[in-house]
Amino acid sequence: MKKENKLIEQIRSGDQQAIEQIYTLFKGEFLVYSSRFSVSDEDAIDIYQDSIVVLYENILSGKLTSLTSSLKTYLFAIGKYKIYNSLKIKANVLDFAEYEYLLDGESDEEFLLREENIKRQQQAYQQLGDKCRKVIKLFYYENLSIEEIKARLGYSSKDVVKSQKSRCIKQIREIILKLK
Amino acid sequence: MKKSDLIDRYLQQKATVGELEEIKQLMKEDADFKEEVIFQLELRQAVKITEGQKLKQHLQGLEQQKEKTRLFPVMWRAAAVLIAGFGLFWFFNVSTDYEKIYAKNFEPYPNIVAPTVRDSNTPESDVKTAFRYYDNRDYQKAAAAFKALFNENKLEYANFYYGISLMADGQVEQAVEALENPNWEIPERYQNQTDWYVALGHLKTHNKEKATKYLEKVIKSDGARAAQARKVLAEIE
Repeated sequence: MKKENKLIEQIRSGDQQAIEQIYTLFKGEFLVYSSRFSVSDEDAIDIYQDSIVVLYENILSGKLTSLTSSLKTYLFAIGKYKIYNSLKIKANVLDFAEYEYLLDGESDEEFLLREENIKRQQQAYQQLGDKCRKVIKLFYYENLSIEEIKARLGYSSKDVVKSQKSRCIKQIREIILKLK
Repeated sequence: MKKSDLIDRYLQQKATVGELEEIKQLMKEDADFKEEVIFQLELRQAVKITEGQKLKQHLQGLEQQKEKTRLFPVMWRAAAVLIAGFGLFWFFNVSTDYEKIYAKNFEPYPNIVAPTVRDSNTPESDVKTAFRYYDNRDYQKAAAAFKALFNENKLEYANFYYGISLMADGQVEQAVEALENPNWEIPERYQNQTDWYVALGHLKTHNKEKATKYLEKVIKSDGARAAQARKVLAEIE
């Protein structure tokens, strides 16, 4: 458990190799586990990879800070959920929970437009320069506070990080305007 | 608290119950605020999808690597090393030192465009993207980007960088073909450089005759590459 908590700690501090370690550590067992269901090996690996991505994101977003059960149990729970999902229907599991709250009372059509927007945002994000992409990634994906971003990227003050971030958002808006 | 800070806290799930109430209220009353929140939520989602895909591709890459090593038992690996070793030995002894001369002389032309380019007909981001790939030595992507800039945006200099990107990526024949493209109006400042790189390309593909022709052209022009060209010509003759 101590070692597993350390791995989680490493991931939170931006160490990519830790997630690879976890991936290799449990892969074999997961394939054995998934063979109980009628899932092909190929699909099982695919599901396992998706589960690792979710695990990674839960660690980054702070949903998982320290373990109450073992890392394996946690990971396999995600995997099991995904196997169930795949057996019913192979749907794209996007997490739109917050949208329902925000878009209360809006029409389906407008809801679709938003998905378009996300695609444009993806394009814009990929077109950003390195500096902006880093700040945006750390804030929106790794869920780091402005203070933590300052420390990670070596900025001189929190205000500099803040203004850099809003400059980057402005850039994204500009790119999206051009894409439209 | 400033509205932007409120949004930050909301997006990172750090808002208190009271703050959430405030946000809910502002969403109802303030259209700009609502737009900003939705925009950033979409951005967060976009980043999540993009980074998630990247991680997954990375894992798939690990899987393929393992697959390859698994299918390639140790003995065969040893044999392959031997064969490759003999192959290289043969290659370096038989061929004239064209390869060496090429390797010694070829280096990608520096990016002299991106910091200064202002072209109202072309979205600047495309040019910048292409040069970003180029500067990051991602020559395959750079080649594709420059090709598009040349074909679609009619940027003449882009063809030069397209050729150099291909060459740096090891696609020497395609590079020569691109740089010898008869439909390309070479901007004058690139003429000399183009001749030089075409000469190197022909050298690499062991076409001594053409390499010589281009080298002589470079020498005759008496430009920046003339001295280098003279040296190379002396070496192959």
